[in-house]
Amino acid sequence: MRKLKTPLKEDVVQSLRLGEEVYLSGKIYIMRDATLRRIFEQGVAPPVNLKDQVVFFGAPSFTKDSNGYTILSVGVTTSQRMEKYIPRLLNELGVKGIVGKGELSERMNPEFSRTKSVYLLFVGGAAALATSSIQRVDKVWWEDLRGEALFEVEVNSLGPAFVAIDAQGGNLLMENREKVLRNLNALLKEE
Amino acid sequence: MTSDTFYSLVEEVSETLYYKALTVIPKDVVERIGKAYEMEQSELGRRVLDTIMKNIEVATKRNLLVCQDTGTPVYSVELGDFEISLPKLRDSIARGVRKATLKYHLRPNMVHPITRENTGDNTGRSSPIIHFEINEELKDKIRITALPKGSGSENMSSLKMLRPADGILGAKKFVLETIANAGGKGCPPYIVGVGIGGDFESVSHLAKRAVMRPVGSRSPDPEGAKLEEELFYLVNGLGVGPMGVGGKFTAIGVHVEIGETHISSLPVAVNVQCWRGERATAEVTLDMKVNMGD
Repeated sequence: MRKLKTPLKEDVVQSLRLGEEVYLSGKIYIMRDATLRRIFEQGVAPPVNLKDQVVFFGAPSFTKDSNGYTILSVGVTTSQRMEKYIPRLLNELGVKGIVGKGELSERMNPEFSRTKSVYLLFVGGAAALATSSIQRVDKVWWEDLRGEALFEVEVNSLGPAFVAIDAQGGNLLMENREKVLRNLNALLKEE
Repeated sequence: MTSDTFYSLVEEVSETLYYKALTVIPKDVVERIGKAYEMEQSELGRRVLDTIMKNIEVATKRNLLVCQDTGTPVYSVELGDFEISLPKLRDSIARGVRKATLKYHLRPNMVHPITRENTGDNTGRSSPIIHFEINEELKDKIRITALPKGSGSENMSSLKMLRPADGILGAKKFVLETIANAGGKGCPPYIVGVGIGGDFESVSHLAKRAVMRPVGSRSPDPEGAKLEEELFYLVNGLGVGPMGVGGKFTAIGVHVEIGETHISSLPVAVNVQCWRGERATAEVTLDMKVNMGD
Protein backbone atom coordinates (compact mmCIF):
# COMPACT_ATOMS: atom_id res chain seq x y z
CA MET A 1 0.00 0.00 0.00
CA ARG A 2 1.41 3.39 -1.04
CA LYS A 3 0.34 6.89 -0.12
CA LEU A 4 0.73 9.32 -3.02
CA LYS A 5 0.66 13.11 -2.98
CA THR A 6 -0.55 15.14 -5.93
CA PRO A 7 0.85 16.63 -8.12
CA LEU A 8 2.65 13.39 -8.90
CA LYS A 9 6.43 13.27 -9.17
CA GLU A 10 7.91 11.40 -12.10
CA ASP A 11 10.21 9.19 -10.02
CA VAL A 12 7.28 8.16 -7.82
CA VAL A 13 5.17 7.29 -10.87
CA GLN A 14 8.03 5.27 -12.36
CA SER A 15 8.36 3.26 -9.17
CA LEU A 16 4.69 2.15 -9.23
CA ARG A 17 4.05 -1.45 -10.19
CA LEU A 18 1.05 -3.07 -11.83
CA GLY A 19 -1.59 -4.08 -9.29
CA GLU A 20 -0.09 -1.96 -6.52
CA GLU A 21 -2.63 -0.42 -4.15
CA VAL A 22 -2.42 3.36 -3.73
CA TYR A 23 -4.21 6.18 -1.86
CA LEU A 24 -4.16 9.74 -3.18
CA SER A 25 -4.01 12.98 -1.23
CA GLY A 26 -3.94 16.55 -2.54
CA LYS A 27 -5.74 18.21 -5.42
CA ILE A 28 -7.43 16.16 -8.11
CA TYR A 29 -9.39 17.31 -11.16
CA ILE A 30 -12.77 15.74 -11.91
CA MET A 31 -13.99 15.69 -15.51
CA ARG A 32 -15.51 13.40 -18.13
CA ASP A 33 -17.24 13.24 -21.54
CA ALA A 34 -18.67 16.74 -21.97
CA THR A 35 -15.69 18.43 -20.25
CA LEU A 36 -13.27 16.71 -22.60
CA ARG A 37 -15.41 17.43 -25.65
CA ARG A 38 -15.22 21.10 -24.72
CA ILE A 39 -11.43 21.02 -24.41
CA PHE A 40 -10.54 18.83 -27.36
CA GLU A 41 -13.45 19.09 -29.82
CA GLN A 42 -14.42 22.71 -29.27
CA GLY A 43 -10.81 23.77 -28.61
CA VAL A 44 -11.49 25.65 -25.37
CA ALA A 45 -8.25 25.78 -23.37
CA PRO A 46 -8.65 24.35 -19.85
CA PRO A 47 -8.85 27.17 -17.29
CA VAL A 48 -6.22 25.53 -15.08
CA ASN A 49 -2.75 24.08 -15.61
CA LEU A 50 -2.99 20.29 -15.40
CA LYS A 51 0.74 19.54 -15.60
CA ASP A 52 1.64 16.61 -13.29
CA GLN A 53 -1.90 16.57 -11.93
CA VAL A 54 -4.31 13.70 -11.46
CA VAL A 55 -7.53 13.55 -13.45
CA PHE A 56 -10.49 11.62 -12.05
CA PHE A 57 -13.13 10.55 -14.58
CA GLY A 58 -16.47 11.30 -12.97
CA ALA A 59 -19.49 13.59 -12.74
CA PRO A 60 -20.46 14.61 -9.21
CA SER A 61 -23.81 15.70 -7.93
CA PHE A 62 -23.33 18.93 -6.03
CA THR A 63 -24.98 21.87 -4.34
CA LYS A 64 -23.91 25.49 -4.24
CA ASP A 65 -24.69 28.05 -1.57
CA SER A 66 -23.02 31.06 0.09
CA ASN A 67 -20.39 28.74 1.61
CA GLY A 68 -19.44 27.43 -1.80
CA TYR A 69 -19.83 24.04 -3.43
CA THR A 70 -20.52 20.73 -1.74
CA ILE A 71 -20.12 17.45 -3.58
CA LEU A 72 -22.88 15.09 -2.49
CA SER A 73 -21.69 12.10 -4.48
CA VAL A 74 -18.84 11.35 -6.81
CA GLY A 75 -17.49 8.11 -8.17
CA VAL A 76 -15.58 6.84 -11.09
CA THR A 77 -16.94 6.31 -14.61
CA THR A 78 -15.94 4.00 -17.50
CA SER A 79 -12.62 5.22 -18.89
CA GLN A 80 -13.02 3.66 -22.31
CA ARG A 81 -15.38 6.44 -23.40
CA MET A 82 -12.57 8.94 -22.78
CA GLU A 83 -9.88 6.90 -24.55
CA LYS A 84 -9.95 9.18 -27.57
CA TYR A 85 -8.79 12.11 -25.42
CA ILE A 86 -6.27 10.35 -23.17
CA PRO A 87 -3.21 10.76 -25.46
CA ARG A 88 -3.83 14.51 -25.57
CA LEU A 89 -4.43 14.74 -21.81
CA LEU A 90 -1.07 13.08 -21.24
CA ASN A 91 1.02 14.54 -24.08
CA GLU A 92 -0.38 18.04 -24.47
CA LEU A 93 -1.64 18.87 -20.99
CA GLY A 94 0.99 16.91 -19.06
CA VAL A 95 -1.46 14.97 -16.87
CA LYS A 96 0.48 12.39 -14.79
CA GLY A 97 -2.29 10.19 -13.47
CA ILE A 98 -5.75 9.16 -14.59
CA VAL A 99 -8.24 7.55 -12.23
CA GLY A 100 -11.03 5.58 -13.89
CA LYS A 101 -12.55 2.16 -14.20
CA GLY A 102 -12.49 -0.58 -16.79
CA GLU A 103 -10.11 -1.57 -19.53
CA LEU A 104 -8.11 0.89 -21.61
CA SER A 105 -6.82 -0.71 -24.81
CA GLU A 106 -3.18 -1.68 -25.44
CA ARG A 107 -2.90 1.37 -27.68
CA MET A 108 -2.79 3.39 -24.46
CA ASN A 109 0.26 1.55 -23.06
CA PRO A 110 2.89 3.51 -25.03
CA GLU A 111 1.05 6.77 -24.27
CA PHE A 112 1.44 6.18 -20.54
CA SER A 113 5.01 4.88 -20.78
CA ARG A 114 6.20 7.68 -23.08
CA THR A 115 4.80 10.33 -20.76
CA LYS A 116 5.80 8.47 -17.55
CA SER A 117 2.29 8.49 -16.26
CA VAL A 118 -0.12 6.02 -14.70
CA TYR A 119 -3.69 4.73 -15.02
CA LEU A 120 -5.29 3.93 -11.69
CA LEU A 121 -8.32 1.67 -11.33
CA PHE A 122 -10.81 2.85 -8.74
CA VAL A 123 -13.59 0.45 -7.78
CA GLY A 124 -16.65 1.35 -9.82
CA GLY A 125 -19.67 2.15 -7.71
CA ALA A 126 -17.56 2.94 -4.66
CA ALA A 127 -18.86 6.50 -4.54
CA ALA A 128 -19.39 6.56 -0.78
CA LEU A 129 -15.64 5.98 -0.32
CA ALA A 130 -14.65 8.55 -2.94
CA THR A 131 -17.08 11.12 -1.60
CA SER A 132 -15.89 10.73 1.99
CA SER A 133 -12.30 11.41 0.92
CA ILE A 134 -13.21 14.90 -0.30
CA GLN A 135 -11.96 17.64 2.03
CA ARG A 136 -13.25 20.58 0.05
CA VAL A 137 -14.17 21.78 -3.42
CA ASP A 138 -11.71 24.47 -4.44
CA LYS A 139 -13.03 25.52 -7.83
CA VAL A 140 -15.68 24.68 -10.38
CA TRP A 141 -15.42 25.81 -14.00
CA TRP A 142 -17.99 25.43 -16.79
CA GLU A 143 -20.95 24.97 -14.52
CA ASP A 144 -23.23 24.93 -17.56
CA LEU A 145 -22.06 21.34 -18.02
CA ARG A 146 -23.70 20.46 -14.67
CA GLY A 147 -22.11 17.27 -13.28
CA GLU A 148 -19.72 17.28 -16.21
CA ALA A 149 -18.23 20.63 -15.20
CA LEU A 150 -14.52 20.76 -14.31
CA PHE A 151 -13.95 20.39 -10.57
CA GLU A 152 -10.80 21.09 -8.58
CA VAL A 153 -11.10 19.15 -5.36
CA GLU A 154 -8.87 18.48 -2.35
CA VAL A 155 -8.93 14.82 -1.30
CA ASN A 156 -7.45 12.94 1.62
CA SER A 157 -6.52 9.31 1.12
CA LEU A 158 -8.73 8.67 -1.91
CA GLY A 159 -8.59 4.94 -2.42
CA PRO A 160 -7.95 2.16 -2.70
CA ALA A 161 -6.92 2.53 -6.33
CA PHE A 162 -4.90 -0.10 -8.18
CA VAL A 163 -2.16 0.55 -10.72
CA ALA A 164 -3.75 -0.64 -13.97
CA ILE A 165 -1.34 0.82 -16.57
CA ASP A 166 2.14 1.59 -15.28
CA ALA A 167 4.90 3.78 -16.71
CA GLN A 168 6.63 0.66 -18.03
CA GLY A 169 3.70 -0.01 -20.37
CA GLY A 170 2.13 -2.88 -18.43
CA ASN A 171 -1.66 -3.15 -18.63
CA LEU A 172 -3.28 -5.13 -15.81
CA LEU A 173 -6.82 -5.30 -17.19
CA MET A 174 -5.84 -6.06 -20.79
CA GLU A 175 -3.51 -8.81 -19.62
CA ASN A 176 -6.48 -10.30 -17.80
CA ARG A 177 -8.64 -9.76 -20.87
CA GLU A 178 -6.29 -11.97 -22.91
CA LYS A 179 -6.86 -14.71 -20.36
CA VAL A 180 -10.61 -14.11 -20.57
CA LEU A 181 -10.57 -14.53 -24.35
CA ARG A 182 -8.59 -17.79 -24.02
CA ASN A 183 -11.09 -18.99 -21.40
CA LEU A 184 -13.96 -17.99 -23.68
CA ASN A 185 -12.60 -20.10 -26.54
CA ALA A 186 -11.97 -23.06 -24.25
CA LEU A 187 -15.49 -22.85 -22.78
CA LEU A 188 -17.09 -22.67 -26.24
CA LYS A 189 -15.13 -25.71 -27.38
CA GLU A 190 -16.24 -27.64 -24.30
CA GLU A 191 -19.89 -26.91 -24.95
CA MET B 1 -62.47 3.53 -8.04
CA THR B 2 -59.11 4.94 -7.13
CA SER B 3 -59.04 8.31 -5.43
CA ASP B 4 -56.68 11.23 -5.83
CA THR B 5 -55.17 10.38 -2.45
CA PHE B 6 -54.20 7.00 -3.89
CA TYR B 7 -52.18 8.69 -6.64
CA SER B 8 -50.53 11.07 -4.15
CA LEU B 9 -49.50 8.01 -2.19
CA VAL B 10 -48.06 6.44 -5.34
CA GLU B 11 -46.12 9.66 -5.91
CA GLU B 12 -44.69 9.56 -2.40
CA VAL B 13 -43.81 5.88 -2.68
CA SER B 14 -42.14 6.39 -6.07
CA GLU B 15 -40.02 9.16 -4.60
CA THR B 16 -39.00 7.01 -1.63
CA LEU B 17 -38.21 3.99 -3.81
CA TYR B 18 -35.91 5.98 -6.08
CA TYR B 19 -33.77 7.17 -3.18
CA LYS B 20 -33.91 3.84 -1.38
CA ALA B 21 -32.65 1.95 -4.44
CA LEU B 22 -29.62 4.28 -4.54
CA THR B 23 -28.79 4.00 -0.84
CA VAL B 24 -29.85 0.53 0.35
CA ILE B 25 -28.36 -2.48 -1.41
CA PRO B 26 -30.81 -5.41 -1.50
CA LYS B 27 -30.08 -8.05 1.16
CA ASP B 28 -29.69 -10.87 -1.37
CA VAL B 29 -27.05 -8.83 -3.25
CA VAL B 30 -25.08 -8.01 -0.07
CA GLU B 31 -25.15 -11.69 0.92
CA ARG B 32 -23.84 -12.83 -2.46
CA ILE B 33 -21.03 -10.30 -2.42
CA GLY B 34 -20.04 -11.48 1.05
CA LYS B 35 -20.01 -15.09 -0.13
CA ALA B 36 -17.98 -14.15 -3.20
CA TYR B 37 -15.45 -12.44 -0.94
CA GLU B 38 -15.09 -15.61 1.14
CA MET B 39 -14.66 -17.82 -1.93
CA GLU B 40 -12.61 -15.56 -4.21
CA GLN B 41 -9.08 -16.79 -4.79
CA SER B 42 -7.63 -13.86 -6.69
CA GLU B 43 -5.94 -11.58 -4.20
CA LEU B 44 -6.74 -8.43 -6.14
CA GLY B 45 -10.27 -9.70 -6.66
CA ARG B 46 -10.62 -10.02 -2.89
CA ARG B 47 -9.32 -6.48 -2.40
CA VAL B 48 -11.96 -5.23 -4.82
CA LEU B 49 -14.77 -7.17 -3.10
CA ASP B 50 -13.57 -5.96 0.29
CA THR B 51 -13.67 -2.37 -1.04
CA ILE B 52 -17.22 -2.92 -2.32
CA MET B 53 -18.36 -4.16 1.10
CA LYS B 54 -16.63 -1.28 2.86
CA ASN B 55 -18.29 1.16 0.45
CA ILE B 56 -21.74 -0.22 1.23
CA GLU B 57 -20.97 0.16 4.94
CA VAL B 58 -19.73 3.75 4.58
CA ALA B 59 -22.78 4.66 2.48
CA THR B 60 -25.10 3.43 5.24
CA LYS B 61 -23.12 4.99 8.07
CA ARG B 62 -22.67 8.41 6.46
CA ASN B 63 -25.97 8.50 4.63
CA LEU B 64 -24.36 8.69 1.18
CA LEU B 65 -25.32 7.27 -2.19
CA VAL B 66 -23.66 3.89 -2.77
CA CYS B 67 -22.77 4.88 -6.36
CA GLN B 68 -22.84 8.34 -7.92
CA ASP B 69 -24.81 7.07 -10.92
CA THR B 70 -28.41 7.93 -10.13
CA GLY B 71 -29.33 5.93 -13.19
CA THR B 72 -32.06 5.95 -15.76
CA PRO B 73 -35.27 5.91 -13.75
CA VAL B 74 -36.96 2.63 -14.68
CA TYR B 75 -40.11 1.52 -12.87
CA SER B 76 -42.04 -1.68 -13.08
CA VAL B 77 -45.65 -1.46 -11.98
CA GLU B 78 -47.53 -4.71 -11.47
CA LEU B 79 -51.24 -4.12 -11.52
CA GLY B 80 -53.75 -6.16 -9.58
CA ASP B 81 -57.36 -6.54 -10.64
CA PHE B 82 -59.16 -3.23 -10.20
CA GLU B 83 -59.92 -0.10 -12.15
CA ILE B 84 -57.05 2.32 -12.27
CA SER B 85 -56.04 5.28 -14.41
CA LEU B 86 -52.75 4.59 -16.17
CA PRO B 87 -52.14 8.23 -17.16
CA LYS B 88 -52.58 9.27 -13.52
CA LEU B 89 -50.33 6.46 -12.39
CA ARG B 90 -47.67 7.48 -14.89
CA ASP B 91 -47.85 11.13 -13.86
CA SER B 92 -47.64 10.24 -10.16
CA ILE B 93 -44.49 8.21 -10.70
CA ALA B 94 -42.94 10.99 -12.79
CA ARG B 95 -43.72 13.49 -10.03
CA GLY B 96 -42.08 11.14 -7.54
CA VAL B 97 -38.94 10.98 -9.68
CA ARG B 98 -38.82 14.76 -10.01
CA LYS B 99 -39.32 15.27 -6.28
CA ALA B 100 -36.62 12.75 -5.33
CA THR B 101 -34.19 14.34 -7.80
CA LEU B 102 -34.73 17.82 -6.38
CA LYS B 103 -35.04 16.87 -2.72
CA TYR B 104 -31.90 14.72 -2.58
CA HIS B 105 -29.98 16.69 -5.24
CA LEU B 106 -29.66 13.56 -7.34
CA ARG B 107 -27.57 13.94 -10.45
CA PRO B 108 -29.87 14.67 -13.40
CA ASN B 109 -28.87 12.15 -16.04
CA MET B 110 -31.52 12.32 -18.71
CA VAL B 111 -30.56 14.21 -21.87
CA HIS B 112 -31.92 14.55 -25.40
CA PRO B 113 -29.97 11.89 -27.33
CA ILE B 114 -29.01 14.25 -30.15
CA THR B 115 -28.65 17.70 -28.60
CA ARG B 116 -27.48 16.18 -25.25
CA GLU B 117 -29.58 18.82 -23.51
CA ASN B 118 -30.36 17.81 -19.94
CA THR B 119 -33.99 17.85 -18.81
CA GLY B 120 -32.68 18.80 -15.35
CA ASP B 121 -34.88 16.60 -13.17
CA ASN B 122 -34.58 13.07 -14.59
CA THR B 123 -38.04 13.25 -16.15
CA GLY B 124 -39.05 14.04 -19.70
CA ARG B 125 -41.21 12.97 -22.59
CA SER B 126 -40.25 9.33 -22.07
CA SER B 127 -38.65 9.38 -18.63
CA PRO B 128 -39.23 7.69 -16.24
CA ILE B 129 -39.46 4.49 -18.23
CA ILE B 130 -42.47 2.65 -16.84
CA HIS B 131 -43.35 -0.97 -17.54
CA PHE B 132 -46.95 -1.83 -16.70
CA GLU B 133 -47.45 -5.51 -16.03
CA ILE B 134 -50.59 -7.43 -15.26
CA ASN B 135 -50.48 -9.53 -12.11
CA GLU B 136 -54.05 -10.33 -11.09
CA GLU B 137 -52.77 -12.29 -8.09
CA LEU B 138 -52.12 -8.92 -6.48
CA LYS B 139 -55.92 -8.39 -6.39
CA ASP B 140 -56.44 -4.97 -4.75
CA LYS B 141 -52.76 -3.98 -4.79
CA ILE B 142 -50.14 -2.61 -7.10
CA ARG B 143 -46.47 -3.48 -6.73
CA ILE B 144 -43.96 -0.79 -7.72
CA THR B 145 -40.30 -1.54 -8.28
CA ALA B 146 -37.79 1.22 -8.91
CA LEU B 147 -34.67 0.30 -10.84
CA PRO B 148 -32.53 3.42 -11.36
CA LYS B 149 -30.33 1.58 -13.80
CA GLY B 150 -26.68 2.63 -13.88
CA SER B 151 -25.26 3.33 -17.34
CA GLY B 152 -21.88 1.61 -16.92
CA SER B 153 -23.50 -1.80 -16.96
CA GLU B 154 -26.43 -0.84 -19.20
CA ASN B 155 -23.95 0.21 -21.92
CA MET B 156 -22.50 -3.31 -21.88
CA SER B 157 -25.87 -4.92 -22.64
CA SER B 158 -26.59 -6.52 -25.99
CA LEU B 159 -29.31 -8.06 -28.15
CA LYS B 160 -29.10 -10.51 -31.02
CA MET B 161 -31.66 -12.09 -33.31
CA LEU B 162 -30.29 -15.62 -33.55
CA ARG B 163 -31.55 -18.29 -35.95
CA PRO B 164 -33.44 -21.24 -34.51
CA ALA B 165 -30.63 -23.39 -35.97
CA ASP B 166 -28.16 -21.62 -33.65
CA GLY B 167 -30.04 -23.26 -30.80
CA ILE B 168 -29.34 -22.99 -27.11
CA LEU B 169 -25.63 -23.32 -27.82
CA GLY B 170 -25.78 -20.14 -29.88
CA ALA B 171 -27.60 -18.40 -27.05
CA LYS B 172 -24.95 -19.45 -24.52
CA LYS B 173 -22.19 -18.32 -26.85
CA PHE B 174 -23.82 -14.91 -27.20
CA VAL B 175 -24.17 -14.50 -23.42
CA LEU B 176 -20.52 -15.45 -22.88
CA GLU B 177 -19.29 -13.13 -25.62
CA THR B 178 -21.34 -10.26 -24.20
CA ILE B 179 -19.88 -10.71 -20.71
CA ALA B 180 -16.33 -11.22 -22.01
CA ASN B 181 -16.72 -8.02 -23.98
CA ALA B 182 -18.12 -6.16 -20.96
CA GLY B 183 -14.98 -7.16 -19.06
CA GLY B 184 -14.43 -4.82 -16.12
CA LYS B 185 -16.22 -1.86 -17.70
CA GLY B 186 -19.70 -2.50 -16.29
CA CYS B 187 -18.59 -3.04 -12.65
CA PRO B 188 -18.50 -6.80 -12.07
CA PRO B 189 -19.33 -9.04 -10.29
CA TYR B 190 -22.46 -8.76 -12.43
CA ILE B 191 -26.04 -9.84 -12.16
CA VAL B 192 -26.62 -11.14 -15.67
CA GLY B 193 -30.18 -10.91 -16.98
CA VAL B 194 -30.89 -13.05 -20.02
CA GLY B 195 -34.05 -12.86 -22.09
CA ILE B 196 -34.77 -15.64 -24.55
CA GLY B 197 -37.70 -15.60 -26.96
CA GLY B 198 -40.46 -13.11 -27.59
CA ASP B 199 -39.73 -10.53 -30.30
CA PHE B 200 -37.10 -7.82 -30.76
CA GLU B 201 -38.79 -5.54 -28.26
CA SER B 202 -40.00 -7.95 -25.60
CA VAL B 203 -36.75 -9.93 -25.37
CA SER B 204 -34.91 -6.96 -23.87
CA HIS B 205 -37.81 -6.43 -21.51
CA LEU B 206 -37.45 -10.08 -20.42
CA ALA B 207 -33.73 -9.49 -19.82
CA LYS B 208 -34.45 -6.42 -17.71
CA ARG B 209 -37.08 -8.29 -15.75
CA ALA B 210 -34.43 -10.94 -15.10
CA VAL B 211 -32.09 -8.45 -13.40
CA MET B 212 -34.96 -7.26 -11.20
CA ARG B 213 -35.32 -10.66 -9.57
CA PRO B 214 -33.67 -11.38 -6.20
CA VAL B 215 -30.22 -12.78 -6.83
CA GLY B 216 -30.19 -16.55 -6.84
CA SER B 217 -33.93 -16.93 -7.45
CA ARG B 218 -34.77 -19.56 -10.05
CA SER B 219 -36.81 -19.33 -13.23
CA PRO B 220 -40.14 -21.16 -12.91
CA ASP B 221 -39.51 -22.58 -16.39
CA PRO B 222 -37.47 -25.80 -15.96
CA GLU B 223 -35.46 -25.12 -19.13
CA GLY B 224 -34.81 -21.59 -17.92
CA ALA B 225 -33.72 -22.82 -14.48
CA LYS B 226 -31.33 -25.34 -16.03
CA LEU B 227 -29.85 -22.68 -18.27
CA GLU B 228 -29.37 -20.36 -15.29
CA GLU B 229 -27.17 -22.94 -13.58
CA GLU B 230 -25.19 -23.71 -16.72
CA LEU B 231 -24.65 -20.06 -17.54
CA PHE B 232 -23.60 -19.24 -13.97
CA TYR B 233 -20.84 -21.82 -14.26
CA LEU B 234 -19.84 -20.70 -17.76
CA VAL B 235 -19.83 -16.96 -17.05
CA ASN B 236 -17.70 -17.47 -13.97
CA GLY B 237 -15.35 -19.61 -16.02
CA LEU B 238 -14.41 -16.50 -18.01
CA GLY B 239 -12.18 -15.12 -15.26
CA VAL B 240 -13.12 -11.45 -15.72
CA GLY B 241 -13.32 -11.21 -11.94
CA PRO B 242 -14.31 -8.28 -9.71
CA MET B 243 -13.81 -5.02 -11.66
CA GLY B 244 -11.97 -6.98 -14.36
CA VAL B 245 -8.86 -7.71 -12.29
CA GLY B 246 -9.32 -11.47 -12.70
CA GLY B 247 -10.88 -14.02 -10.40
CA LYS B 248 -13.62 -16.56 -9.87
CA PHE B 249 -16.47 -14.10 -9.54
CA THR B 250 -17.50 -12.41 -12.76
CA ALA B 251 -21.16 -12.78 -11.78
CA ILE B 252 -23.00 -13.20 -8.51
CA GLY B 253 -26.13 -14.32 -10.32
CA VAL B 254 -27.48 -15.27 -13.73
CA HIS B 255 -31.24 -15.05 -14.30
CA VAL B 256 -33.08 -16.23 -17.39
CA GLU B 257 -36.57 -15.15 -18.45
CA ILE B 258 -38.35 -17.01 -21.20
CA GLY B 259 -41.11 -16.04 -23.63
CA GLU B 260 -42.68 -17.79 -26.61
CA THR B 261 -41.17 -16.79 -29.92
CA HIS B 262 -41.94 -17.13 -33.64
CA ILE B 263 -41.12 -20.41 -35.45
CA SER B 264 -38.37 -18.64 -37.38
CA SER B 265 -36.90 -16.59 -34.50
CA LEU B 266 -34.56 -16.95 -31.57
CA PRO B 267 -34.08 -13.52 -29.99
CA VAL B 268 -31.59 -13.33 -27.11
CA ALA B 269 -30.93 -10.28 -24.96
CA VAL B 270 -28.37 -9.82 -22.21
CA ASN B 271 -28.98 -7.05 -19.70
CA VAL B 272 -25.86 -6.48 -17.65
CA GLN B 273 -26.37 -5.27 -14.08
CA CYS B 274 -23.50 -4.04 -11.92
CA TRP B 275 -22.74 -5.38 -8.42
CA ARG B 276 -24.93 -2.66 -6.86
CA GLY B 277 -28.05 -4.46 -8.12
CA GLU B 278 -30.13 -1.36 -7.44
CA ARG B 279 -33.81 -2.06 -6.93
CA ALA B 280 -36.47 -1.24 -4.35
CA THR B 281 -40.02 -2.53 -4.18
CA ALA B 282 -43.20 -1.52 -2.38
CA GLU B 283 -46.83 -2.55 -2.52
CA VAL B 284 -49.71 -0.12 -2.31
CA THR B 285 -53.23 -1.33 -1.64
CA LEU B 286 -56.36 0.29 -2.93
CA ASP B 287 -57.29 1.23 0.65
CA MET B 288 -53.91 2.94 0.89
CA LYS B 289 -51.76 0.68 2.95
CA VAL B 290 -48.10 0.67 2.00
CA ASN B 291 -45.76 -2.25 2.45
CA MET B 292 -42.21 -1.03 1.83
CA GLY B 293 -40.55 -4.45 1.74
CA ASP B 294 -37.06 -5.01 3.16
